[in-house]
Amino acid sequence: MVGARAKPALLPALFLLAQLQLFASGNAEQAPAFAQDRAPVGGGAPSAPTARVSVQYAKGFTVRYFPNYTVVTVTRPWPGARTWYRYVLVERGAPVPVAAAAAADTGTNEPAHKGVSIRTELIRVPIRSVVTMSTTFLTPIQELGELATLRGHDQTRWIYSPQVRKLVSEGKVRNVGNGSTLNTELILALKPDAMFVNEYSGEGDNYATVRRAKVPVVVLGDWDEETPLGTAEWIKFISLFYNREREANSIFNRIATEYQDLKARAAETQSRPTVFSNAPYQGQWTVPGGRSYAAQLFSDAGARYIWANNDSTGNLFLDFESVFNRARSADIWLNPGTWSSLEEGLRFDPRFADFKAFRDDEVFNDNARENQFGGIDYYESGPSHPERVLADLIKIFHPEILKNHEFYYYQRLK
Amino acid sequence: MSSTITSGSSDSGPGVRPALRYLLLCLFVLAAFAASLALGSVRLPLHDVAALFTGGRMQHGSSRAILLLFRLPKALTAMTAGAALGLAGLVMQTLFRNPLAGPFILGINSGASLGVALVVLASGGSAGGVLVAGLALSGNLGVAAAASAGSAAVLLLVLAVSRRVQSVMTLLILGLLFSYGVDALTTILINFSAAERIQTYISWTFGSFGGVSWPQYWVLLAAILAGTALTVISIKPLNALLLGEHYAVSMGVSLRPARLILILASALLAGTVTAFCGPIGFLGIAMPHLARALFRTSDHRTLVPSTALLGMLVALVADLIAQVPGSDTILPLNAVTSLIGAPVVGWVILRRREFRGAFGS
Repeated sequence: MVGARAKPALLPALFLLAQLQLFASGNAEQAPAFAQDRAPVGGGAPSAPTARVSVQYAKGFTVRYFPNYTVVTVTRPWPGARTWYRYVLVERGAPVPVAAAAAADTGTNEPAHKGVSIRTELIRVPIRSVVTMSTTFLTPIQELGELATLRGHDQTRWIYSPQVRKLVSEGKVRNVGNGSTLNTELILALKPDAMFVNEYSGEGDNYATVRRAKVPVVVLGDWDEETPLGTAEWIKFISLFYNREREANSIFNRIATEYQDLKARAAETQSRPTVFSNAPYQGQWTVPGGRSYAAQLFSDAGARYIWANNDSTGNLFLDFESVFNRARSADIWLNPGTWSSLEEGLRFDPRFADFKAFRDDEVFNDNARENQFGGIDYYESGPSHPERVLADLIKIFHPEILKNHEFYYYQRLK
Repeated sequence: MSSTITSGSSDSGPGVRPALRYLLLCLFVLAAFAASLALGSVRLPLHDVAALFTGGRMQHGSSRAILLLFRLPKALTAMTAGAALGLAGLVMQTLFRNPLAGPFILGINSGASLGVALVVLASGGSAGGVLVAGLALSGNLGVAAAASAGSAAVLLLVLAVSRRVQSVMTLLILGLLFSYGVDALTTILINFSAAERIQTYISWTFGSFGGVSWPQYWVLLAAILAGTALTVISIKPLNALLLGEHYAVSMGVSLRPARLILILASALLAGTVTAFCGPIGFLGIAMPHLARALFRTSDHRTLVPSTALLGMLVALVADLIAQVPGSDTILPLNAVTSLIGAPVVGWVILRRREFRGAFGS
């Protein structure tokens, strides 16, 4: 279990108070204190990357550029986070900003405004090796052309990407964990320049041991974005660690343009089919909230989500009976768990036959791309490619618009 | 070791007559059954609930489907499972002459959990579900089959051992050891599983009566009826066992067959319920105590039916509370049975201290 990992070691950093005062008045937009530092004399700084990223959709991170270094701050690593993660990205060979070095050395918790504490870490870029803890990071790294830096991944058996699987089978990418336990010794042996992780709450510090061994842990909040384009935009965040901003901009601009085009075409349609998703387990049915990522995709694809009026950005845990009451006459059913045929669904629960969408063969699952090991591409590359997800959904809701589109992630269950 | 079986009539004193108690209990069960049909996350007109039985017209379009497909199987499952768990607990408590024994004392529960963990955790699925939260779900029937297989495997082990072991205490300890061993395997499986899978497994351990559909209910009912029949034909040996194994032998009870039948009965009862509803705690241990306290007896002729009725009642009420009527969320059933049930039963037992005599110690 996750809780089995080490608890955080509280780092008293009172002696740093003098410097921390500088941060205390700051806010999210203001430059961190060391921005005013003068770089120490000496040391030939390499030229900074010419392309820069600016954040348009993502709500979870901010980027600020300074001569010779970039400061990127993750302001929403998980819902309601009171901890921000700040990474000072310094070009290899460039001088280190003094205050940033001090803050990063002690891994200090700077007191920031309104009770938010900031953990600062200094990372030399471009990074030459990386360990990833979620399959969602693999797609951006691959598309930025940096797969060669990948040294380790958590639970390699779930990976879908054939390229990454090849690296795993060649022994170039090692399995660093099994989902609940981290192979800390292996990670320390790999000694990556950075480790990309997700944290789901501030309870405990799952990577305390790794941090103590001076492996920079980068916490990404991509999963907590409320919009599909916001999640996809985290490719820009990752690109900063590789000086690949130019590539990130071009990839993301293409995705955003295509997404907006598709959305506009779906908006022109007259009909709005009703849609619901997921499947019950033991009488409980977990559905995405009305303000969730999924709900936004449904609405952008020109469907009426039957919980669209709900205010939750997370999941709703409902009774089977109440979902039945609302969803039985809905037009389309998405993502009914693991089944791959309607008949298989009936074996799980014969009551599914009472849903209109089921009787009309309007059930679609996101597991069209599943390899023999159980890895499903939708969960791996889907977050990075909302335009593909949207195109699939539009084909489901309005087949007349995208006549030539072939399903990518989705399949109609027979 | 010298106490005698206190029968209902001789000990009840000025209290309510047993027949009246049965009547009251049946009325309560009926009322709880009606309430669980009438209340739920969807508001249905009472008229429609009544029409289900009178055959009248329903006002609401979905009423008939909701009542027939959801509330009726769930209420019946609650009653069946509650009675079964109570009986299984009663049988185990008497067999081991231990008030702390419950239906899962021999590791049946652990076996079922391991079976479910194998199906839910070890099968294929996805990692990092950032998109539409599609919990990787495993089919209800698959889970039920796995749980049955798991508890049957543990049961066979226990039965094989019980043929060689003389003392029930040794058997009890071996059962505990089985549980630890099997639980350890489950823990290892959990350790190697993706987070979403663990979530699915954990929600199975919460327990629920709502996942049972009609075809599954008939399987559940058949197994429970068989287990109940085995319990009923064992009422005489059960009463004899209460006075000690030596006494039972002197009464003409042949111990080994009796023991085998009782273990089989309890495994059928508890194993099947766990397979379909998850590991539901508390009911199995508490219902026999409640029955002894309310009926002031340790005679199994009274305890078997009263424990079954009490099990039905408490299961129905717990499920009603877990539904949080008026809302469309549900609470973990296991939490409700324990949180609401424990104080009630504790209060009843403290008021009726003479129940201590029931175990002849």
